[in-house]
Amino acid sequence: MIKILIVEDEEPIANLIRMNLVKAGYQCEIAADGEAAADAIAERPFDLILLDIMLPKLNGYEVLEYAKTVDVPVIFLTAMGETQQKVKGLKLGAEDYIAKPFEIAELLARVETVLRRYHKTERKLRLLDIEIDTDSRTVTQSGHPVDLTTKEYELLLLFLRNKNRALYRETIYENVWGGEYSGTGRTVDLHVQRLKKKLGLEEHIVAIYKVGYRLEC
Amino acid sequence: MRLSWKLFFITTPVFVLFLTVFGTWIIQDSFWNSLEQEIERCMAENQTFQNSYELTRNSLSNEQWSQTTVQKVVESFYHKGSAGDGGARIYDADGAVMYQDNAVSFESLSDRSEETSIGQAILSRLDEVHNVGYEIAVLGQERYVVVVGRSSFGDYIETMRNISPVYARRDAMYARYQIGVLLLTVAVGGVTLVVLFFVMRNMQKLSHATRQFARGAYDARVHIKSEDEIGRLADDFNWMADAMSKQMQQLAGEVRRQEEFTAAFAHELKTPLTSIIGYADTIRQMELSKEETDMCADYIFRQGKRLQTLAYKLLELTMTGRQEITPEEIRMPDFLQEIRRTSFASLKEKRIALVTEAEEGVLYGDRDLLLSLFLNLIDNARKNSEPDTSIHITGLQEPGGYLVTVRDEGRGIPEEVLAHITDAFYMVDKSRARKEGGAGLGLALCQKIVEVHKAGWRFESKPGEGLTVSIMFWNPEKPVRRRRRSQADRRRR
Repeated sequence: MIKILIVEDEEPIANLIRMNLVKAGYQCEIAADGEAAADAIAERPFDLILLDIMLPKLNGYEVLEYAKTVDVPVIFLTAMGETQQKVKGLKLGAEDYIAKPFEIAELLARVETVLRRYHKTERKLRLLDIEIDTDSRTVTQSGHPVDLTTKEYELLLLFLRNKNRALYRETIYENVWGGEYSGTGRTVDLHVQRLKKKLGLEEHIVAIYKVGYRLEC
Repeated sequence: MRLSWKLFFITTPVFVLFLTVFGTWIIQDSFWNSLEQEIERCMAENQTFQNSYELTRNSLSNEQWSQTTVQKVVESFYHKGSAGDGGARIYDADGAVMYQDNAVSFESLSDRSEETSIGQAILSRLDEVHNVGYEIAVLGQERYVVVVGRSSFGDYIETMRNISPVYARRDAMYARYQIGVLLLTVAVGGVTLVVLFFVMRNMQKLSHATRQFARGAYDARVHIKSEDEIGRLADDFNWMADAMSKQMQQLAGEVRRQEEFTAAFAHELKTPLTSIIGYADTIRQMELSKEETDMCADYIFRQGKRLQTLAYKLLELTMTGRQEITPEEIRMPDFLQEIRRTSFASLKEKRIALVTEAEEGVLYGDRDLLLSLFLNLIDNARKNSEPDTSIHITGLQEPGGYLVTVRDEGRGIPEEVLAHITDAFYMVDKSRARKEGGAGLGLALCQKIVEVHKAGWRFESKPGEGLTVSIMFWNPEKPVRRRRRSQADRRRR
């Protein structure tokens, strides 16, 4: 099981992240200040660290140094959304950067992306009789290759990462296409319809009235 | 063209022109005087000659006259000077020369127009009244004054004198004067250039400094030790530069504080927003148990409250000090009763006692703002205090003002962070402050209120010994206007 360390001094936020990561199938631990985080990193192995920058005792950049000694990927998580700080964090060796406030889908997507980069996740994802190879980005159904466009592939991954979770059209759009969702286009619906048809998921991808879609299984 | 060259090319020619005109005038004047004197002398000489000639001839009887010659007569009274610069001649009306001694031939002398002989020219001007005339003649390099007089015998007596020395003197003077003018011009021009160079060097320094300053080198100053206008201009420049640098530093400090405030504000805003958005997102996307939903809702509620506190405090902070306060007299210790009534509920909840002890006295200030000040201080003390402790407020009448002290028995504040506690969003213990619902703006607001009242305040604390805040309210210099309006109201009632 993948273990994630959440370093965040704001208890509500730490709890929020833990709650969602646990539901997504990760194991979590919370450190409320820099020293506790450094101790935890030294004592126990983690697969990923979500690190706030403004922390009591030791700040995020200092904790990052500890994380680098044990070669654990780090995602910065902070309210300071300024470019300079992003650049500084990434320069120091952070894998990614999540600016507060964030949406849960974005958090999960980034966590998974970094884990995949570090080969911490399963390379082959399975859904019913569908098998997805994230290395070669190929999809097979009952052994037969299925031809998916890039967007359809991304869409499938998003559904897989958010099983049993209602995905809003805007969330889908922002995660797959990027950019601001205008709220009028039919792009999301068209792609979801095509994906359902290609993989025979009509019964599993459920449309939720006025919201979006949910993958049930 | 540079100003120094302009000045140089204007002053020098004017100087030379003036010197030339003036010098020429003086030399020429002196020359004319000499020439006049010389001519006078020649005229006198001619007159003397004529008188002697007439006297001698008159003294001779006709017999004697017939036996002698004019030559002999003249020689009896006239000796040709040793110098060869003069001469005399006598001739009759027909032009027959009766006496001649000069080396220079009179005929060879011509007047300047060279039309007639000099003698003829003079003769033609003689009339009944004037029996003597003169002319200046040129022969080669030499100049002569020729005087012709008509004697009573009808003879013409012509004398001449070489006046070249007068001209030579004038030419020599001119030559010397020209050298003088040349030297003077060079000297004056040189001095002018040197002076201008120094003046302009200072100007260049000034201009250089100005350009540097404009390019952003705000420490650029001019060093000119001079009492003149340029020196004063340099002083003025330095003064302006100092003032501008100071202002710029103030602005930079202001901007930095503003940036710090904005960064802290952004953090304080985004933190509760993250929870609110995150939990709301969780609820709407997931099937949650009743407990989980309640927990999410509770977080959303609490963080929303936190945002509310932030917004209100911030609004209060922004509004305070915006308008001029009209101080009124606030009676102590009556005012403390008002404070006690307002803070009673929150203190009771934590079983904290408010102990007040104040001398009779008056505070001058805005009642609402001062109430806000003390409530914030009590609030701050309450958050730092354990249950079953006390908060003490004491008031002392001091010379020139009134001193109010708010003291708690809480955990105190480390000395090294005392200076920061009035910074907006600064929290000594963030997690505790959060739990107590603080936004980190209370003391920043108090600071504003103290400032608009021109009061002074001080913090004293040691960890574990509580925090003491002392505020000195100064009496106003001008007597405070009584609240006329309220009296009028009362009368109306």
